Amino acid sequence: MSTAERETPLLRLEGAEVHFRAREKLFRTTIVRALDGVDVSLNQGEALALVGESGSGKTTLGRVSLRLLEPTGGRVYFDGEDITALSDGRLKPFRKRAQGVFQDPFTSLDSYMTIRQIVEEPLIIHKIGRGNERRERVEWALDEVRMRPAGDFLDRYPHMLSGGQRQRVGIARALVLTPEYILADEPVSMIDASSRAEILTLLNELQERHRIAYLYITHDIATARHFAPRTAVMYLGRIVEEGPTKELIADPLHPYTQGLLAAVPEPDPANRLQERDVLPGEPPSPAQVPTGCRFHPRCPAFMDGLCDVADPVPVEIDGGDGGTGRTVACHLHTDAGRERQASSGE
Amino acid sequence: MTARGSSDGPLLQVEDLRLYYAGEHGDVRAVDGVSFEIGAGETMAIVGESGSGKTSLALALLHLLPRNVAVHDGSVALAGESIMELTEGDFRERVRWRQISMVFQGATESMNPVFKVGHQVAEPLTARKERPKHEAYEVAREYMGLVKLPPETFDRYPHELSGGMKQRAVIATALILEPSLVILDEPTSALDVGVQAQIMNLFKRLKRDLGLASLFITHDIALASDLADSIAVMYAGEIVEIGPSEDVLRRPTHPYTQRLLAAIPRLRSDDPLQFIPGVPPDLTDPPIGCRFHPRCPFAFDRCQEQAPPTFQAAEGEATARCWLLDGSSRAPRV
Repeated sequence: MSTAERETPLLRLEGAEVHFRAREKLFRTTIVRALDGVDVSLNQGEALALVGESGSGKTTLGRVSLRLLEPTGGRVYFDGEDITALSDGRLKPFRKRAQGVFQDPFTSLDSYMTIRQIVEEPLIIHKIGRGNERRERVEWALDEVRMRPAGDFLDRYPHMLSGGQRQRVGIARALVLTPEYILADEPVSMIDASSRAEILTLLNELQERHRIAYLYITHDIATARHFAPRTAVMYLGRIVEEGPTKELIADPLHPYTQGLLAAVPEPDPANRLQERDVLPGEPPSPAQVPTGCRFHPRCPAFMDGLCDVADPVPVEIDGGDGGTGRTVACHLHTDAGRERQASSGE
Repeated sequence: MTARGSSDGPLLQVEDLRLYYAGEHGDVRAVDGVSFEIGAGETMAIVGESGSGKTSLALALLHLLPRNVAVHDGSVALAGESIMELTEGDFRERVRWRQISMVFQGATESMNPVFKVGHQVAEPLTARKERPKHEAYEVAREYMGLVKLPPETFDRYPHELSGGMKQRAVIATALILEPSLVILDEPTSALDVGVQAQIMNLFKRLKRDLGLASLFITHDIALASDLADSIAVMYAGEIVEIGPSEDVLRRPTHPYTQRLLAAIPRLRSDDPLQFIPGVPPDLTDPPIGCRFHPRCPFAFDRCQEQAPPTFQAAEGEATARCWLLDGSSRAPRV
């Protein structure tokens, strides 16, 4: 972020934390650290991608950003206002300005409602317009998501639409309130590869036309490149690396980001001839977060006595041409880790 | 465990396979005249959108048919022997799972929660009562080792395993009767990218070490490239382009294949994403002529009138059903 522009971020999470108790045995409970101290800042009209695997806390973070979930620690600000602990009633103005598009277009639309009813519902909840005015607004929203002519779709039911069309109805439902912020939680992961590009292009166009800020949650870092100029990579409840998406892909700093990138298949007939370099194992449960750096049990660059002991603080990385806004939480880049590498190199 | 399938001809030879379902408004032509071959130890990917008929193709091969089947014909030969006409009893006895097995999409969700994992892996053996239980369990342990499941998972219940481990167990179950061909229907669709890459590595190893042939069904042509020696692109119940992976991925000739490839978000390219406007056709009443013509940017008169036959691509070995490849019709340059 340039220093000249000091606007108030539209959405800001400070040290956001969601811990909850889960019963493990009859008399024993454990703490599940779904989200474990995360800072996120999103300006008006900006798009930030949040990349991570299941259990990384990305969906929890998204739910906190919409205040569908109250964080157990940290703060949430929207347009400068602290909304961390607002009651449902007092959140209503916020809910009009912040909307969500969700992963599964098959279950996130009520199958007993027509497309018109689905898209109109937010207007009813927020007591916006009436009769004809509402109808016009619903048609406008459907037209915006390229369900054209809107009249053809109004009286249909979700099951009569393709996956891509259903997801566009989900977007129209969010758009009908003309929100400033949209959480897009894996909006294309359940859609055919061939329709993904269409949905992403549509979301991009809407952003330009209406200056919407997006938090784009995905497990697919390749889509992030085509959607968000900035990306944050999450692992086990934390952001481990953040920066401009293209730089992060061209030169990933965190070993986890490197592993994530190596796992992405690109259409190349040579792929079949060799095995991929993959990270060993799977992410542990957020109920058993490892000590020190939480990635250390799977890390190829593990430094004994450091990574399993000390939790790396995020370090800002200078891209050479001045601040690039890249941060990484890894001992390869902390002072302690650099000393360690220097001494072992001698 | 030795390399399987060693006859000279192709392992699987499919010709003009059709599977229609009876529907309220006429037959749904899910698989409509599909032909291809898979050599021993080779992988062919079937790539297509949902509703293109790729899963129906698998069900047609395995004779796993719903009640409302209207048409199920064509010829299918496995290692030279025709298997299409076998009775259900013979097919179950000799072919299904024994020679052709399948990893179903979402199979991990259908594991039985009340039985131990090892018991379920052994089930294809125990259900056939050919071996005593303890022997079947021994074989199951061996196959679980083959798919890199730690020995202790044998006595675990499905809910105690991660998604990736459950998928490995499902794969072991598909391999335990030593089939020569396994059908993989979106075998990684519920998995994270990291685990997906691990499972794809496992398939590569099984292919290399066991000579296991596979039919890999996926909607993701990028993922297909991770395993496939050849690729068949399916659209509206038909194969529209088929050939070696090199040809189909590097020199796609059918406009649908070209669009499919251009729609993939690339990690290291800024080419703007392209997409295929419109939706796949209704299979009860597919478009006259080329089935892709309503969505094709290059469609001309002939495409709306006549279904294109299979043409050889200008370069390489791939073939495609597209009038653009016909030397006699003035084809606009793609």
